[in-house]
Amino acid sequence: MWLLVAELDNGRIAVAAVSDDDRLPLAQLQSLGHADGRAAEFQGRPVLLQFWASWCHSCSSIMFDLDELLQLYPDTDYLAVSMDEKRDDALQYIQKHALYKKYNDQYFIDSDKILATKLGVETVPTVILFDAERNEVVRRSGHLNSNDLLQLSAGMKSIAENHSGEINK
Amino acid sequence: MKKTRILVLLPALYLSSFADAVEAAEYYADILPLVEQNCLTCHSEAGVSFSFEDPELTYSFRAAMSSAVADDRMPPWLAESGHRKYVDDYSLSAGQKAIFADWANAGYPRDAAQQELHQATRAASPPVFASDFSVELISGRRFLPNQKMKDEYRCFIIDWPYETDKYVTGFKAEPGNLRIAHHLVNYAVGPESADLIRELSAEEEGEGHRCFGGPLPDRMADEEERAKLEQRHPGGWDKLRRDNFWLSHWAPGMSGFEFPANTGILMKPGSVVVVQMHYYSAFAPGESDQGSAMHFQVADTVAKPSVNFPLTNQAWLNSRRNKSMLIPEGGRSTYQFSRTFENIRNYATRVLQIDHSEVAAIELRSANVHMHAYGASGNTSLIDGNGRKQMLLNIPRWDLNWQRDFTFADPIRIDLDALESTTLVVECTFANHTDKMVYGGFGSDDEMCINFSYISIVLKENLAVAAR
Repeated sequence: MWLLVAELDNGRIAVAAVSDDDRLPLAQLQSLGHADGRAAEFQGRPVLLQFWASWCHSCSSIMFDLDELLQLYPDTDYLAVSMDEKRDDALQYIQKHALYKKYNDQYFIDSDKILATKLGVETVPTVILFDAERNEVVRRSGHLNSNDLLQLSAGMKSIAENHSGEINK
Repeated sequence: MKKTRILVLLPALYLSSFADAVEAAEYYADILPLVEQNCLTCHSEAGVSFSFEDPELTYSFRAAMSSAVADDRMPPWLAESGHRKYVDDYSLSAGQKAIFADWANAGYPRDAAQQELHQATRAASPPVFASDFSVELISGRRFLPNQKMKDEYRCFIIDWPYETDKYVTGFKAEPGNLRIAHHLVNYAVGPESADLIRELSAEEEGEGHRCFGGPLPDRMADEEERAKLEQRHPGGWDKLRRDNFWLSHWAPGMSGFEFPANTGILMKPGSVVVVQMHYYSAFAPGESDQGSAMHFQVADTVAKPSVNFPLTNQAWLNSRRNKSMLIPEGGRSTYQFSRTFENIRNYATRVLQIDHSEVAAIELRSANVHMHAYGASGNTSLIDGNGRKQMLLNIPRWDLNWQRDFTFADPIRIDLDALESTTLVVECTFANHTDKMVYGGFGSDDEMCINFSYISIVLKENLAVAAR
């Protein structure tokens, strides 16, 4: 089972994908926003993880769909990982785009594609939904059509219903 | 010299034993030529997406490219293969996909020696498109799409300039800003409804009118708006929604498109063309269209007058009232509708003003399933008098962003004696991820299930000879 955790590290967010077996940190991502202690809340909550890049048309499009789903299921945390090779490309793009700015604090960069490689992510956009136990529930790559959104929505709904008690604790 | 590739031709039984002997696909020799032939019309500095013109930069997309090809996401050709041969099919063949898979499995090999041997194989330049009538939308001004939406569908009206009947035989578009122009569809609106669509469009602020579902204003999805219109123009809305049809379209990668030889779509004097521009601002916020050019080829006569026949259940468009098309929250639903070719002949002859006695046969030349954002899959099929079903177009994964017309390389002829017993069927499956019921209708939150097919009339021999 893959786990995704986040820790505060002197103003930077260290996001690590670890397995139950070795619990070795596999990736350290750099925040693109203004990271604060909120990142620690990722633990024990469902996470919608999106890999994107500034050159990716479909990534910008699905932000509108993900925003809609995140409003429907506010207990799901959102984490976006840029695969841009240049940090400035990602930063400049975020500043241009109102929806990206809205989620500014949840943006990270994985220029070396360490987390992407560990999670087997080959392309952008890729969206992965983890439940609160960090089990992968839904994964979709490429432009999301209505079927993809329905499956993602169903996954988020199922997690919300099954874990609402734990989340509210 | 290019290597000869034999891997995909080998029977699977022998594949493993030959695997070591067959040279793996190589980037410059095998992959780059496919990229240059199939991708550069969009993926270039002049195109709509990031450029693949630099081979070394393109190589950095190797994993994403292979994944997109393997999943049939790129090139974006919605039609499932194996049913019919389509004109301008830029999808990759099974063999070409196997080359990509082979290359990925081998770890994306790139041989520097092959780089020197590589000769750029750009797609051939399109033939010159000779336009008879050209017009520029938003000329001298600019249109900034709504920045709060990922897409905006905006319609602009072109007055059809001819004072006699003309047949449109070809179309070319030159969008003003390829970074935001996703695709466009031209709809013709007949002379009896032209003033009404002009009036409705003029009532909206800014350039043109918002028109997600076709040429008609989005706001007319609202019953109150329609009631107000009915008071001003009794019967006008009903006439308008029936008096428009798909004329032509443009999508990234398309240059000029000439309709099938000897065919054309009749435009009556006093008609208008409603250009439905799909702007995609999500990727390029703040950018505007500073003038998009439309070019039409026309003819006075054609041997086979044609129409784009809209196959749909009109009741679906009023589903909030009649509940005929419902897509429940968090669920899926499928809708189907059919018409006999006798119905289709009647529609075509009415629009083209041809007497039934002049018709020798009908030619079916294209299929084009149209849904909105909740569309999941769709297909168009033909069922003959013996109940045999022939799939004409199957779209297993609908994507609103890549809708287009699929013109058959070979038309299907339906003779007079088969018109009554042969049916055209459209089927659409929808998926609703929201927490609200979705209805059939005209608005951006509504759904549609329409197939547009290009239908040509084969006139009886003695009539076809005479110029019409």
